[in-house]
Amino acid sequence: MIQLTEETKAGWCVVSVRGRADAESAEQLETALRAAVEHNSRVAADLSHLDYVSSAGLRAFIQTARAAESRQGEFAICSPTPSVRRVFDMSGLHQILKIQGGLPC
Amino acid sequence: MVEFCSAHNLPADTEFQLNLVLEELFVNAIRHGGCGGLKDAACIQLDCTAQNAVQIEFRDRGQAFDLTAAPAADIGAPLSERQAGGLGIHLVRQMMRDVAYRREGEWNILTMLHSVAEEQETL
Repeated sequence: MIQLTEETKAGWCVVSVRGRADAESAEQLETALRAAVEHNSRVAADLSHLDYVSSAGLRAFIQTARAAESRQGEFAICSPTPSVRRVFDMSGLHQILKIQGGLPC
Repeated sequence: MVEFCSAHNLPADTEFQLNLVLEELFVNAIRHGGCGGLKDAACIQLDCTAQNAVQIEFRDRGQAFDLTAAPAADIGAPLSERQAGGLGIHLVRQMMRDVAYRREGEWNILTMLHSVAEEQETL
């Protein structure tokens, strides 16, 4: 179960991701994030209310970052909880994705 | 899983990681092992051992697949070269220790341990 909401703040499209990013919800997550980077040059995913992420969820973030990079757009992953952050770190994604403690706007 | 973790007073992060490990194993068995549509395709047993560790036994009736022999995901690859596959197995190996595989008849059987104490120290 995942809830996605979108708002624009100071030139950033902020996508709030709540719930679980797992094998069941990953496609919905990727579709929403990719649409956001296609329509906005600066996108931030707010993970402060993301309770769980598995490799399927990580892939959605990786594919979105790739899509943003190919369009020379910015994609920031913001405010993950310590447990979620640890899954990103264990996967080496802290080296290739822009992960930050707070929102850029 | 929620009941198991609360019955054994396990921390929330342990519950998170055990959920993740079981999801990765189950999804692999369905998507790559041919377990989709099979009745009673997988069987999971959880035990809280005396050494402050959780033992998982995961059985599935998919094609023979030895997770311990699978190639490691290249987690140092740049974004453009990142392969989509292998990340789940990589996470299982990161979160679990003493991972062992055997094939018994039509079953793949994986056993592994998750250290609870070690994890609390690193929090």
